[in-house]
Amino acid sequence: MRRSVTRQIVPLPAIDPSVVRCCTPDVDLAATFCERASEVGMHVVRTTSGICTERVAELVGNVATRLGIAHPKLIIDLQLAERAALCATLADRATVLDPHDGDDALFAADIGITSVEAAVAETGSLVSVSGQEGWRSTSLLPVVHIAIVRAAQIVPDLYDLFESRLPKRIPTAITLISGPSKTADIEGILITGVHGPREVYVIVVDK
Amino acid sequence: MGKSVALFVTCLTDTFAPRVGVAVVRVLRHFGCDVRFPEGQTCCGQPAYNNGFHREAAAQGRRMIDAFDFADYEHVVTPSGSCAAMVKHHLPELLADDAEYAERSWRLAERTYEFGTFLADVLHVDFTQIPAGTSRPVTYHYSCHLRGIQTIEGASAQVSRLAGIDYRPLAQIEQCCGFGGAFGAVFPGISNAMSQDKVTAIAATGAEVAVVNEAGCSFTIEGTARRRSVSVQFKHLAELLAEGLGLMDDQP
Amino acid sequence: MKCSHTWFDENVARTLADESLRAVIGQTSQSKIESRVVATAKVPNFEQLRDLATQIKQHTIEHLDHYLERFIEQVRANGGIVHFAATAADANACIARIAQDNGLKLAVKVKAMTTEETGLNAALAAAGVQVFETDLGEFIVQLDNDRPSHIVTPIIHKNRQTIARAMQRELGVPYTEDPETLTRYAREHLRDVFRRCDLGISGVNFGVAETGTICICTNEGNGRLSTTRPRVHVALMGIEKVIPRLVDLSVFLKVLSRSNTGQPITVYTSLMNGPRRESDPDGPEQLHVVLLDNGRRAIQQGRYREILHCIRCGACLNACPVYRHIGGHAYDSVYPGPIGKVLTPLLNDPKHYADLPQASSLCGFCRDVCPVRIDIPDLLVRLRRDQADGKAVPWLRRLAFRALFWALSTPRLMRWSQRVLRWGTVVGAKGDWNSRLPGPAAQLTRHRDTPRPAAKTFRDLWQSERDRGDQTDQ
Repeated sequence: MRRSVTRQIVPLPAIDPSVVRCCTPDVDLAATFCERASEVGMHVVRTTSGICTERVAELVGNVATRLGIAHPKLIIDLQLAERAALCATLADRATVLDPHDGDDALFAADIGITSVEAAVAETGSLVSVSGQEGWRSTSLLPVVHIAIVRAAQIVPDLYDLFESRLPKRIPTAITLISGPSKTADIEGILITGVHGPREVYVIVVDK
Repeated sequence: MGKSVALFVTCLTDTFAPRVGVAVVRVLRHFGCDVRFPEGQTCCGQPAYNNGFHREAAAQGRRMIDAFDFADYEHVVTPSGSCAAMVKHHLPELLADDAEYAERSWRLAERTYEFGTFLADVLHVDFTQIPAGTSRPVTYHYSCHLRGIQTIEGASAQVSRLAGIDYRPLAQIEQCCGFGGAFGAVFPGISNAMSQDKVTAIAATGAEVAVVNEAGCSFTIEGTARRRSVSVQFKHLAELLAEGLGLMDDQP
Repeated sequence: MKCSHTWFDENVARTLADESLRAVIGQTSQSKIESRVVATAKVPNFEQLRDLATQIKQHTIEHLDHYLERFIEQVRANGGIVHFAATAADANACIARIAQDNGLKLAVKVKAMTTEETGLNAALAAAGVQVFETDLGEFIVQLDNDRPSHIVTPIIHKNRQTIARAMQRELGVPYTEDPETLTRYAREHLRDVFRRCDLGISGVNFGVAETGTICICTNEGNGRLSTTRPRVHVALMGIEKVIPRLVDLSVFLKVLSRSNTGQPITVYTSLMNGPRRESDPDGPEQLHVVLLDNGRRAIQQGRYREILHCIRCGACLNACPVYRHIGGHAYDSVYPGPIGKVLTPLLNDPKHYADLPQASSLCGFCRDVCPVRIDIPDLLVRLRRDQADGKAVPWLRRLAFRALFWALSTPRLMRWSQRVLRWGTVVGAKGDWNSRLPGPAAQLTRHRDTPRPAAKTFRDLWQSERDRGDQTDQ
């Protein structure tokens, strides 16, 4: 069946990036992103690619100690090589669960470790997408989320993200994460960690 | 060469605050204006308009236009922001389809000014050169209907920058005083709660004089302050300026 | 000036008498307005963003059918199922049927004004579906069998003591006034629900026509959980929520939360494009979008179209002096505050809600903070005009206005009225003020002193003022 031909309308004019952008491409994107991500309550660590695995392992250890967990349980959404390297480094310090094992594994995890599709300097947002090995639950169910952002993934503004940075075939779920889970429903007092993670760590990997 | 100005005194100022009208006349004259008072004026139609009686508002508007005919003056100045807004924004809208009055309503709208904006925008008065006229602390209440005519910053600067003034900024200056025309009579409880907040905020500044440029706001806040025995004197900007310029010595 | 005591007057009187409630609403609202000022000051192009947002909304609502058609096509292309609901009852029946057809028993809900509007919870309960509100505020509302009083912060009217008592009573947890612990109780209670749920229900903040994307903005994470964990996700979307392009989201996201909480963006902005695909390891198997009309199309075709631009940020409630004193419940509507004063009589029986458009001083602070520049005072005046034209103004008030308009119709009558009023207020007078008016006028001096016409009006003074001017000119 052919669709009815839609009445033609005068379309909206294209959005002028110079009007809509709150962060322009000429600034130091990594520095701006780190600043804004901290402002919305995420903990930011900057590192270089060579020592990224060590930094993640170190962070896992610190977080576990602070939360009083002797042997943290992890779920990890990273590319195979990275995941293998991290598992090897953490071998004796943590248990890596397989989310394919079902809800028991997902709900038991203390820390979720993910990469991101992109990051937005303007708002300090992580952009996470669903897909192969991209569990929507990894950045959501555990009480701690650790995200690895490569400096080259940072776009200046929400405008840039929606205009050109998303994959051609739009993923089922795109989530912009801008801070730990928050509420101010009780007397306007800010509490973190309602239903999502209480703590979010961002490791920014410079080239 | 001074400007020729017609005073639109407004029904509330005429009735309840004639001294404000006198002050406006004297300040305008001080700055070289030739001031007239068209005797046919009564009301701009704002009460009818705000309460949804638009036929009546249009009739009142036509009378207003008839009363202000531009044979011998260039501008119309009024000591009320809400009446200025009525003439500038709503009259042309109400009379848009009126063959005889549409054009004339635009002409009136273009030439009508709220007192403070007339001083600033047309006469280019430098407020820093006018003495405050009082050594007592002064605060300023922003009337809601100045929105769209003057910003809060612009309006309060006309008071805060007077020479030698002890200016006390008002907290939550954007909040309404509870007047709102018929609103105050139909919902006295809500209106009173709003007025109480406003008087509390004024009292908290420690000011002894409050400048209020709208007769309705002024008597709502002053009436509430009197009931609470909060002793603050209420003045229109025109009165404050006229006193500072020594123009009100022969007024009771 | 009121002929009869209405339900609204009673609600108002109840809140006005509750000092502590007014204090908490006033403080929370003010702090949000101040956060908004700080947040918008950091964005130099904020006014231009408001202009853009307004322009996009205006265009979209004007061409609503065009964009809805594209949106529906794209949702279907993404594998979603689209339903139409002309009325609230249709929407509830539709969602109940989806639950029954799929054997769904346990629903988790993201706070959604559309579901409040249709009264979905009761309808699902009747269909045998257990419903859990998962937004902390709404969860507490549900526990305490209460109603939300703000479209963004639903329990602005509750203090920690009432919350603690509700949790103690309904969840059997120890009484505590520590907000952190109270939040933890809710988290723990709902964790298990999230594990077992099979139906997720959300509203929609923005529906993107270009891509069929459903965007929801939340802070707690319950929005993500409710749209990820269950087998079936149903989104109940008001038809006015459609926007043309994905890139338009950048404009709306920039103004939405800055206008309310002062956040640059909500913690979670979820964009959903259909149900789980082969390649997705998790997410719902079905996505249903229920498009809700319930009076919106009639509004779109009439003189109040502008109200459909609303993006439900809640800034007008925070700004409103009337809302601050009477709270959300007084409006007896899902949509309270300035936006509700316009929307409620349009979506419901205007006679029942006749007081709402009147209960405003038209101060315009709502218009100043609206991210899409809705001229709410202007819409209120139009609603008042409809009442006046339709003879829906109480006779006594109408009579009072007639008398006023007559008195102001000529300078002679005005002069005469001024004198009558001066002498009519002489009883109880102290000079130019009166603090005890007699008879039916007494309510004018119940709370404050009222001025009397001056002994000499300006018109009386003008003669000597003119002569004085002539002298100084010479």
